[in-house]
Amino acid sequence: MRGLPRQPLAIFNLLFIAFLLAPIVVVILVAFTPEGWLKIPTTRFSLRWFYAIAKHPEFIAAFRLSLLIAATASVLATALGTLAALGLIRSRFAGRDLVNSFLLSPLMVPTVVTGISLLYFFSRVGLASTLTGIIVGHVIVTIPYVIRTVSASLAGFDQSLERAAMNLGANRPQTFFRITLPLIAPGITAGAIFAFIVSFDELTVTLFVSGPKLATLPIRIYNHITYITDPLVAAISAAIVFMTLGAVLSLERLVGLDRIMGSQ
Amino acid sequence: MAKLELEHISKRFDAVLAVDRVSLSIQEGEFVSLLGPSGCGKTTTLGLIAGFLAPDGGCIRIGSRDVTAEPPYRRNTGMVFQNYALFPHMTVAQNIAFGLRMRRVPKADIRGKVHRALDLVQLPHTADRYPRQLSGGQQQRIALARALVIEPAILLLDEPLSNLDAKLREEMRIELREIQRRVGITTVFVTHDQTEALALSDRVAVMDHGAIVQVGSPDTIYERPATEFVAGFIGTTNRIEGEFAGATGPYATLKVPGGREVRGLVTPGTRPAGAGLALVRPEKIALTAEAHPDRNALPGTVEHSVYLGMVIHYVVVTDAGRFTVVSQNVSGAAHAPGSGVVLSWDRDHTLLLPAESRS
Amino acid sequence: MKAREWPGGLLLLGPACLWLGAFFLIPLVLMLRLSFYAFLPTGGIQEALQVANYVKVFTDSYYLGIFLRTIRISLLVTLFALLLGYPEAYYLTGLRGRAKALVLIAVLSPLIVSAVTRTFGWFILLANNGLVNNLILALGLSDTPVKLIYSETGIVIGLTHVLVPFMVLSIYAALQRRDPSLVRAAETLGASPVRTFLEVTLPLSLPGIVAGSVLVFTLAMSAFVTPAILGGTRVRVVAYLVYEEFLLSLNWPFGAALALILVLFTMTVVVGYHRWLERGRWGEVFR
Repeated sequence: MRGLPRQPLAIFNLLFIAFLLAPIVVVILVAFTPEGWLKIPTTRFSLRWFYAIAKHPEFIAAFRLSLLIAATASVLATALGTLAALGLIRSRFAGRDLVNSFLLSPLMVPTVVTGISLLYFFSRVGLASTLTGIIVGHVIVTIPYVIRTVSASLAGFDQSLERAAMNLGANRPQTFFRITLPLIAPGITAGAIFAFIVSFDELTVTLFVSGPKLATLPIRIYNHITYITDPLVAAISAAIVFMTLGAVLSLERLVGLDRIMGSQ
Repeated sequence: MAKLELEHISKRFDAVLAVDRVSLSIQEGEFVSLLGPSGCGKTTTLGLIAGFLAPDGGCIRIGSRDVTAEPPYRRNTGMVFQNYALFPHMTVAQNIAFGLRMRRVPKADIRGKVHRALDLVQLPHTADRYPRQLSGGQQQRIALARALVIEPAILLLDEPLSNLDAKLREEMRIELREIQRRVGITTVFVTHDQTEALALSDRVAVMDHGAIVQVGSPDTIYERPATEFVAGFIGTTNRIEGEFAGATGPYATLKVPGGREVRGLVTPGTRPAGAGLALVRPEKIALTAEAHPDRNALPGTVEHSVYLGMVIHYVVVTDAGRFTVVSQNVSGAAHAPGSGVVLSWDRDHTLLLPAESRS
Repeated sequence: MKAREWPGGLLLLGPACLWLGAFFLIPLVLMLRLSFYAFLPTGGIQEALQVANYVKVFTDSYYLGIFLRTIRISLLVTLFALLLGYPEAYYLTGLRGRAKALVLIAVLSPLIVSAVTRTFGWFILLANNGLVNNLILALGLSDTPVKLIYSETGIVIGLTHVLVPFMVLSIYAALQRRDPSLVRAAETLGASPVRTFLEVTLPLSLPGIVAGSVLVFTLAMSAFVTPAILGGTRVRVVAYLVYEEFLLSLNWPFGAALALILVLFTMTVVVGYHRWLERGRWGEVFR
């Protein structure tokens, strides 16, 4: 189909993608610098800052903590969110739209606001600076993502498949577990992955509900940036990016990203 | 000089030859239909005329101008799309005015032209409504008005009636033809519906697998199909296989299973020798008690009959094959299944062609 | 015929609603009340209701200035995201198959990397001796390094980078829904590709532009991480101010008031947008 000229757009596209990737590439490059300050390596590459990570056990502890929180929060959010999406899409009742908006509202509220209100609330119920508190906060922030992806999966779901199953003799639980669930699995998985990523990278809310002994990785990185500017943080960030890439690639190998994302 | 001239145009999509050296010459004011099953290349041909697709070979002329290399916005064609393609964010009046604005018609003239166009399609009060607020039939008429108001050289219609329900389709058909005649615009109409093609056109171009198989007036196409495909695509045809056994002048004889002979007209340009086919339309056959000497005759048994009020459909089994016969309901009574009858029809209504004749 | 509804739809919604009700709604309500309390540097929070906090925000030019700055930054970010995001979305609609998938991944991939990392990358790029300044000096655009870190410019660049994928997706979704025969109709009526774009494609993508703009604007208004790293205490935005009041000054009531004003502002924008959607003539025109 004719349209505006493609060549200028193609050049723009390349520049745009370069713009998008620039800071990430820069961080990864700086991670390999042999110098002691933030400089892009020009002469040679060095792994000194990667080795330096080992000398900072607080970052490794923070990484483990973030993993734990993200895993727990995403499991909880996925469970709650999937049930909620089922309830939203499949039932009719007055005020359904209101409930839908309510469940998605954490997306609308600035994370700072969520953070301080949780801090105030937790301080009154004794959950301030606790692991439970952090997990509770992360679940709140991530539930909307799960609800959105699962709802999208359900909306596109062909209900005649369920009717066919029931016609052939399957009762409700059987229909759900054998037909519905497998077919919306891509949406659920996508939601879980979003939830995990959002929780792992979460900084703002965590700043308010965590404590000195409970520093997640984003918090440690943020603190480090604000006080010291050396390539250690770059190395850590680069390591995370590599790990993420590795996870994505192995997922692709094992399961096939298309299947997870739902396209045939 | 022809108003629209297609000279050996071809279009290839990867390995598929969608349009295969199509040539067609359309005169000013003519209404020509491109008719064929889906995939025959008619829509692609229309796309080539409009300029959305560039031909791989051949040339296209509108009037004296060679437009083969011209983009669609410089070809001066008006097109009505299957889904009407009315701009949803513009009113009816703005939709119709769009082409005039593109041609830099002065604002003062646009209003008048828009209103005349709306009068032409009998929707004068819809100017300020949005397409969404109109019914399908009304939208279709607005689409037509929009295409005609720019006074294009050629009007292109891409199955414009197929989204309408049956009754509306018939009404629109009549109106469309009337408007076309009144305005006198050269028109190319794409359809897979033979009833439409026969009812609307001055000439019909039957297409199959990217090529034009036969061009002619509706009655020529119907009564004198050039190939078995055309005979089968337009209306229903009975088909008898046999061996040619002699020819005199325009006529020939076909020996059919069961030992009988069928006489008919040889399709021009073919040799009446070897294995052959006889084609005869169901309404041309009469069920009689005895054979008439000057007409083709085959004895058979009525297998079943379907009473349809106005006509009666029969299926009759003979040694030469099964026949569908359509008889006007004059007597009010049908031949019963199992009764013996003689199929009788005129040799001028029989078409003979060699068996390999597939286009 | 609809499949029979799931019995106990309310049961399914229960857990999520309870969770959010207990840990989201109630804390927000409590915070609303908190914003009306007073704070004494010596005595802490006083549970006496007063509107002094709100008054303070609206009368003190310092706080108003920060709000204005945040709005200014957010508007600029929205504008740039639109200018960059629209051509990219348009380009995407012209792609097919593998090329399209690859470009989509490229546009979305930054979202997998945390905002902290991405902003840190800008921190490096925009430093006085960073790449951007080196380029500026080399091109002779300036004699001395331009101050990009700890400036509004830096924040605008960083936030635009973080938020532009949302704009691209929003506009792309709107363009995808465009009926291709409309473009062809315009062409047969004599419109050149540029005219077709201006008269047909652009107006029809307006819902996507507005949706994307509202999203980017509200996210920019609420942003904390990027302005904190690229602006810090030297260029404060509202979110950072809230952070300071709460965790450094420990003036929770005032911080709560600031936060609520921010929420009110973004909510107004969103609600206004929804109203416009329903009432505007676009509601008639689009499904």
